[in-house]
Amino acid sequence: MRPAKRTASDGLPPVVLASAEALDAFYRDLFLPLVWRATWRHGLAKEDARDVVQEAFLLAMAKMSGEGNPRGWLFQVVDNLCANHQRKTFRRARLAAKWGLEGLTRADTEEEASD
Amino acid sequence: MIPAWIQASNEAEIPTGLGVDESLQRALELRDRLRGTLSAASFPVDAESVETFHALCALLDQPGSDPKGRLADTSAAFEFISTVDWPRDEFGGRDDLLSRLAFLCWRHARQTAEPSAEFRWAKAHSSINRERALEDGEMILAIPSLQRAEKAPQLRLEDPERLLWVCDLLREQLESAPPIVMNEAVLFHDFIKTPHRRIGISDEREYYLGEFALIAGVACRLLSLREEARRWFDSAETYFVVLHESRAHMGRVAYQRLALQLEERDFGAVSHLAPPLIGSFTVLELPEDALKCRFLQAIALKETGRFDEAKEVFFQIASEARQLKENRLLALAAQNLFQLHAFLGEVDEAVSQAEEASAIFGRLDSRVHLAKVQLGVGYLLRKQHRLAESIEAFRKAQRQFAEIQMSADVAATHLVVADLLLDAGDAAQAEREIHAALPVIDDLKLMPEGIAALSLLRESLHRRQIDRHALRELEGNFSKNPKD
Repeated sequence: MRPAKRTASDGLPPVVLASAEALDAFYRDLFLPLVWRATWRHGLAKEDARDVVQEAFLLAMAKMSGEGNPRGWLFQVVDNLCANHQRKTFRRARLAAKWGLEGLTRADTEEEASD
Repeated sequence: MIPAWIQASNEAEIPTGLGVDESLQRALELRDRLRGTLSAASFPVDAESVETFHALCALLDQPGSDPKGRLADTSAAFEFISTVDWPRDEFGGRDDLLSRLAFLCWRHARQTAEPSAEFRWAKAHSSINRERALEDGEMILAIPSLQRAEKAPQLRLEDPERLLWVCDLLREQLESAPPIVMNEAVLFHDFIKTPHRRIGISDEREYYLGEFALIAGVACRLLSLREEARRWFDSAETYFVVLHESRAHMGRVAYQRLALQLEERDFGAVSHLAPPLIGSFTVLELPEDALKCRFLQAIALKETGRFDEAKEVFFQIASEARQLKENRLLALAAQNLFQLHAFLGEVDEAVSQAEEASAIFGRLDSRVHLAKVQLGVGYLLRKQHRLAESIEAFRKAQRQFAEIQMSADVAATHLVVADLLLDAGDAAQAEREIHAALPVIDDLKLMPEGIAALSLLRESLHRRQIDRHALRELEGNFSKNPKD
């Protein structure tokens, strides 16, 4: 149960290289707990939970300041992203029910996602 | 570390743990084993078992028809996870799990007609993950009220667990910042009420409406806005009365009404109503609340001149508060013992009690009570005819009251200082003190005898010959008691 990780031999830029142990610790101590939170607290499917957590990490790279409690910040962002995800799912289901569709078309879904 | 992770996981298939069905199956098995004699000591904690704990938590959050059974299962899960040997810095979030389970225990306990369990779990919930909870609460309160409703979905203001934290935070700040708490409690109350929002399950919406109304009422009481306090208590009752288990909450409102009557110096009512309320809290197995009522009873004894009886009751309260680890009540008992010793001229005992009370209030950041102890020190010095030191002590207390916008107490202290200045032969400054107090007194609703004293005092000011009797009458009418 370990992430498929790239290592130095994959030719990554040296600035972001991290040891396999460090990545493993990150996976166990942060990635998995955030996925668990998105899955079990917010009811997301595992794949959606993983995407939400990765999106939270991308947001963290762009927006997180070094101050405060980074872990708390990440949990907060995951909670918010999960809430957004659920709202979109709910809206999509409502629209589908309204128009008598079993599922919305890909175009509809993408339009929703861009809201 | 995040950039490294993003690089490393780019285009890689990242495992996300057990499948949902597998996790739920394991959670069901764990729940059944917890009904037996599963030992936490030998239980291995790894990624799969932690995910099973999360699944169990979700399982225990499902609606069901047997609240007692669900409370038993959830509290067993709580005990197990809190005692299991969790590897340090691994699978972060044991506190999150425990906090969620404590919340679920509170939720189930509310349906079991066992108020003591409900309050015990609320307390447990409030003590776990405290730092993060307070951080979250403060973050919400820092957002201007107009923007808050717009951001409600992002802030998850309809999340009942989050609201429980907000209530904790507001209760905690009641004595250090009553005006802020009053505004916030009213905002949250109105947010839930209009438009009609669905909060949690079952009667949780009514619970929170009642709770925010009660907090607003207590804040109004502390600010001497007595009519508003009464209206909020009425409002709290209208919500609490429809709860599945309403007895303890109705009792808490009754306690606040009693405290209000004590502040209005209706000691007869307090002596009459406190014993049955103490009896009710005892039946409901809520010893802290019963102790708080005894406290009001003891103050009524003190205020009606039955000092020896009052001292005895306060000593008993202090002893029980120590046992229950109720630091706040312990400090309040010490504060009252200080006042009694001071009144009886027992200076050494008084000083010792004042020190104990101040130390605990300081730790609790209870600025209202710190100011009141300071006020007491002023009275002690006054009794010893140390006029200058006494005035200094009263001024310090007055500044502390002003900082927390307790205008009635600021006005009352003006009157006391005026009286002292007259003793010191400074009639001109005494007049200025009374003039400073009058606008606040005009804004407050006084008892009939207070109104009479006020007009006598006003007339005497016109004559430039202060009526000491009216001044002291008014001062006595104002003097409030240490209270919750």
